[in-house]
Amino acid sequence: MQTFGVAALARDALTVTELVGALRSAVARHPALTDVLVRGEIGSVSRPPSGVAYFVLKDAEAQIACVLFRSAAAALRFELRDGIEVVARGDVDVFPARGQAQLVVRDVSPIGHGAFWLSFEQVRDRLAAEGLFAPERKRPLPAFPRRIGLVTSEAGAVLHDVLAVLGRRYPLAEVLVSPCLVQGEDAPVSIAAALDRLAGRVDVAILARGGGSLEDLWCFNDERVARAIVRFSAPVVSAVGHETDVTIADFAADVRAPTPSAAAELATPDVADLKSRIEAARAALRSRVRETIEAWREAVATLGARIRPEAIRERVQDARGRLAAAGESLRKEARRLLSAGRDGLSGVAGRLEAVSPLATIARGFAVVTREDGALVASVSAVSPGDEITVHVSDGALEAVVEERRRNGA
Amino acid sequence: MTEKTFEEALEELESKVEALSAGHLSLADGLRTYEEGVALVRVCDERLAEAELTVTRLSGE
Repeated sequence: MQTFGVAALARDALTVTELVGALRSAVARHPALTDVLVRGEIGSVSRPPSGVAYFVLKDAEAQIACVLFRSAAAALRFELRDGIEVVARGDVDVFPARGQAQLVVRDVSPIGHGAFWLSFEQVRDRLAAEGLFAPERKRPLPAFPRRIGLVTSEAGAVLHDVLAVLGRRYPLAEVLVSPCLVQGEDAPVSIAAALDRLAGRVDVAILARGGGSLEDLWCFNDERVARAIVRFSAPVVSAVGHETDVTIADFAADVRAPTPSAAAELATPDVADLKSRIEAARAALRSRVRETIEAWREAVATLGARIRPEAIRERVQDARGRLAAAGESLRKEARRLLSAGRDGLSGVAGRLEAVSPLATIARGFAVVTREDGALVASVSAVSPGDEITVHVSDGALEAVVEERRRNGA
Repeated sequence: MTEKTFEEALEELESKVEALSAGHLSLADGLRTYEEGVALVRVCDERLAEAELTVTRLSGE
């Protein structure tokens, strides 16, 4: 060993940077260390404000440092937490500053039985802490929704089923169908957009999806869907999957229905109930008006009794007496008028008689006429020798004029 | 009257029944309330008879 001088040693030695660089390039080129899938338990999670996430993946025997850069960290559907079993995909690299191999993680997913529920719980807890599920936030459903929004897939039986229930229960409504994807990566955005399109246009909205696997229903656990429900302009009834399926959307909704058909029932009154309400009102109107009339009839009868019938009778008697008296005086007056009329008539008759020549004759005067029938009122109307007729009350005298003698002559 | 919606007619009808049931109306008001109620029953019946679910599809973006 002494043949080598220290200086020679120093000359041949690699720098740390060269060594780590060699290590790094060996690792980076190694196919077994590129785009690997690693399964393990998360530990030592650290998330500085930069947005980069650091943790270790470990099993019983070993561990490896992991880094998750900002964009990948933001895309995670769950929160990194110690103890979670995950599968990570990424590339092994060496971090020069520490000379340590690490896994640069591109994507990480929880695994095992509890993997979905883990993410579910994390989202639920975070939104609950924000108050999105608070009972006081829940809006009551309108009793008579004029317009009903329906957010669901255009394919499948749900649309048909919900429309059938709505048509049977409450045909007075207008339904606005806002179609969306109900599974897959793009579903959360599609669902939120479909809800937003209905905003301000309906009195209630139904968000529905038929049954499916946990993965199929997963989009309804998305935070974006929950927020779209919460900001919706009207109450939302959620109905996702079967009765046993509970999603974040159900927590955010104002009312959760066990099935889509049940959602349609919860959102609407039943026309059969309405008909019986109308019938009840009709019957009530009839009996109440009868009661009202009866009440007033009784009131009138009671009032009538308080007026004392004898008093009425007395007044009627009195009135009748006055009527009779009035009738009597009327008769008297009529008689008086009649007899006065009669007296007046005989007076007139007397005056008429007084001017009749017949009455004058009756008193002893006579009327003289010529042969030609003309009355002789003057001595000059006749000449001596003329035949004249002298009319008296009971006959006529034929005479001849002997002499004319004028009065005063 | 003909422009009244079903729910308006039903609510009005039930308030007429209530008013009539309270029993402090004059006879004339009682009879008028009854007649108005009967007219509202007719409106409700007509609305239900002519009702038919309308479905409109909103197109996506």
